Amino acid sequence: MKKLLINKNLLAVIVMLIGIGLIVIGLLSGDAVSVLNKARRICMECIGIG
Amino acid sequence: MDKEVSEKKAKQEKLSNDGRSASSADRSAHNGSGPRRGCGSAGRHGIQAVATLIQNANFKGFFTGKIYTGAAKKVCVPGLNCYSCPGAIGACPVGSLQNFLSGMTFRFPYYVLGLLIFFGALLGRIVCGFLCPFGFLQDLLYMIPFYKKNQFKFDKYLRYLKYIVLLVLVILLPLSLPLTPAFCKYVCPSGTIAGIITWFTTEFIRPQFGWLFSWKLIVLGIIVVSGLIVYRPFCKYLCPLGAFYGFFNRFALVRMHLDESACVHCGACARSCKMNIDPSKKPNSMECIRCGDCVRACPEKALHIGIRDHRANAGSTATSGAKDPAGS
Ligand code: SF4
Ligand code: SF4
Ligand code: SF4
Repeated sequence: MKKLLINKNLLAVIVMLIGIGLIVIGLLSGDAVSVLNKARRICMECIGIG
Repeated sequence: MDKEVSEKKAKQEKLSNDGRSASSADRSAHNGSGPRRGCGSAGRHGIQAVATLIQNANFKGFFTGKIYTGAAKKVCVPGLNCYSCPGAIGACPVGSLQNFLSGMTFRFPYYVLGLLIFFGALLGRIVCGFLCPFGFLQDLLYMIPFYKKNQFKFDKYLRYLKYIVLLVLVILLPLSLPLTPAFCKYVCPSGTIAGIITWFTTEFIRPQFGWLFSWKLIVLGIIVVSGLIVYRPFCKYLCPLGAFYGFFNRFALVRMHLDESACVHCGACARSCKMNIDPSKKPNSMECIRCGDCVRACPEKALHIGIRDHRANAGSTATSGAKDPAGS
């Protein structure tokens, strides 16, 4: 059972590292700027104007 | 060994036969006056309030109607908090995801997906129980004294809706119809709240609100009224973010551990759970928002939320969901 626990923790850490890897790729390709560009303007769909 | 088994049986009998014992555990879990273990429900609501305030720290925006435009908006927050809300200082992950998928030219959402995967693998649906402002709002709604019916016939089937919302409104429709963030546009109640604030604070924009706003107000109204009767209906049935994080609950670094050797199957945990889960059978259900009510209700301290199992070192049999076949 302890082995299973360690394996799950290991899986979580591996998936977290995959997440971090994707974040880094995204940052290098300018994703964060795209997120900012969208988020700094009022989104008409969100507030219900369309 | 025999002694241990008979002791456990006796405890189980005592706890399941003694209605007062179970219901008091149940009550204490609901009113937060039970045995204090870890973060009590008042403590959880305090954390939720602080998380909501931090994510909406552009306070002057609530009066001027002007949204925050600083660099912090490069970062997606973990929960559902509309970036068009004048108070928001971060970006909404669901809105950002749809924005990537529904752009005129498709771009794979590495950054947003990476953040969501990171939050999910680290915390699972702890995000829902502690960090999400819309989850907090629903917790507050359910505290209002009103007719309550948290268990009903179609609950089980309605839970699948959120996966359809995730697949169709957040992924497929934005992918096939450019510039259509369908979830934001037709459903998201967090966006509607941002719309209401904008309506009150920004006069020149008012004439532009039309049928879509009326539709979104109806959806929000249904969610709010049903939230008085059912615990967290939006989280249970509609939220694509909750659906996504649910996939991580079984193996997230911080998850629930059940000490099977301590559990006497009294059912106190299941009775305390407002998400209608039996954590003694499915400690890492995809529906669990990690509120901790069951942990506090358990008279045997058999449940624990954390990275390591609380009794792993004592040589007891602990599981973090190995017996959860569907994980739901
Ligand atoms: S299910 Fe959605 S709305 Fe509910 S708490 Fe989780 S992220 Fe927030
Ligand atoms: S885990 Fe649930 S069923 Fe088991 S002892 Fe604790 S409250 Fe009772
Ligand atoms: S099973 Fe999950 S949702 Fe239910 S009471 Fe326990 S922690 Fe809360």
